[in-house]
Amino acid sequence: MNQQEIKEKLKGALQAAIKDEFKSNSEILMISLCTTDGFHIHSERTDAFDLEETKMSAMSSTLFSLSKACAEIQKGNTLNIATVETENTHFFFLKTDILNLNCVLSFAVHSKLSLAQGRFHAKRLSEKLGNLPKEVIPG
Amino acid sequence: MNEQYLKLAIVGQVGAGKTTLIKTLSQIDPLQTEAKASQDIGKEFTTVGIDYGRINLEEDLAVGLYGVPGQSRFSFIWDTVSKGLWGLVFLVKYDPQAHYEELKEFLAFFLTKDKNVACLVGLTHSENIDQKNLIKAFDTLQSLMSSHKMNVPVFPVDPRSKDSSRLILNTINTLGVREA
Repeated sequence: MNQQEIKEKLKGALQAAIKDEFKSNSEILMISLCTTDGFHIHSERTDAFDLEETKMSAMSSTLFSLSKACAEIQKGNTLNIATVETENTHFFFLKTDILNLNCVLSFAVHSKLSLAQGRFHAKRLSEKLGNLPKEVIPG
Repeated sequence: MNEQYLKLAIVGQVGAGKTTLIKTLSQIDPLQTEAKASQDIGKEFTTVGIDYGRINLEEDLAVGLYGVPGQSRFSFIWDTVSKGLWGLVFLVKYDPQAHYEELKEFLAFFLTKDKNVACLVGLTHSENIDQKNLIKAFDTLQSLMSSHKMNVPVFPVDPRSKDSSRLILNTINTLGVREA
């Protein structure tokens, strides 16, 4: 497999994994993957979730970087997940590295799901995405 | 003692020197929100949130320095930062082709908010430019500002230099006082 084929295969696997997680629970409202500098990669969302992809990616990258800076105020502290709670929605922002590409995974669930449940789904997907290259790339 | 707090926004394209300027001027350890660039932008890291620093102009007068990302996809931050400004600094990276399209975009955005805010243009990366091209760049930038009905100072800035960066603050301070 050449580099382009590997890239295409990995992209397909990322999209499929995000889609599967999105379909796994009807309370998941939006999943979006972008680079840490705010470039959109892929997203899934319900119709009710009004999302402009490039804006969501830019906001995710900003929120994550600000949260990271906030966490690092205390020396030795590193950010695991940034969480935003609203009346109806819980948002989670996680650093997700795919090969050498630093990404942010944004995950929104309806507040009918507890924070712990939402975090579980988000972390599970983040880990899965991080491990995809091992499954997809031969050798 | 009641301390007065003023807000200075530093805007400009990627790589213009906003983060460096804040690092040079700030009297506190600046907040920096940089991420590794996933595309070739001529440098390894880029600002994705707000750079924040603070400097005391006088004993009871502090200036908050707000640097915002240059890419238009981060315009939601421009919106937040543009409220209640005391001063506005446009940092422009020298371009031999004189294409200052991003400056036009910033002007269109920020100057619709408040045309009375003290404002200037700092031309960066211009240390090694010959006099003729430097004058040409100033003329282009001046006429661009004039087309937005703005008569503002345009001068070269080296964000790595304390003196050069301090000139920005002093100029904004003078303009702000004049307009008060």
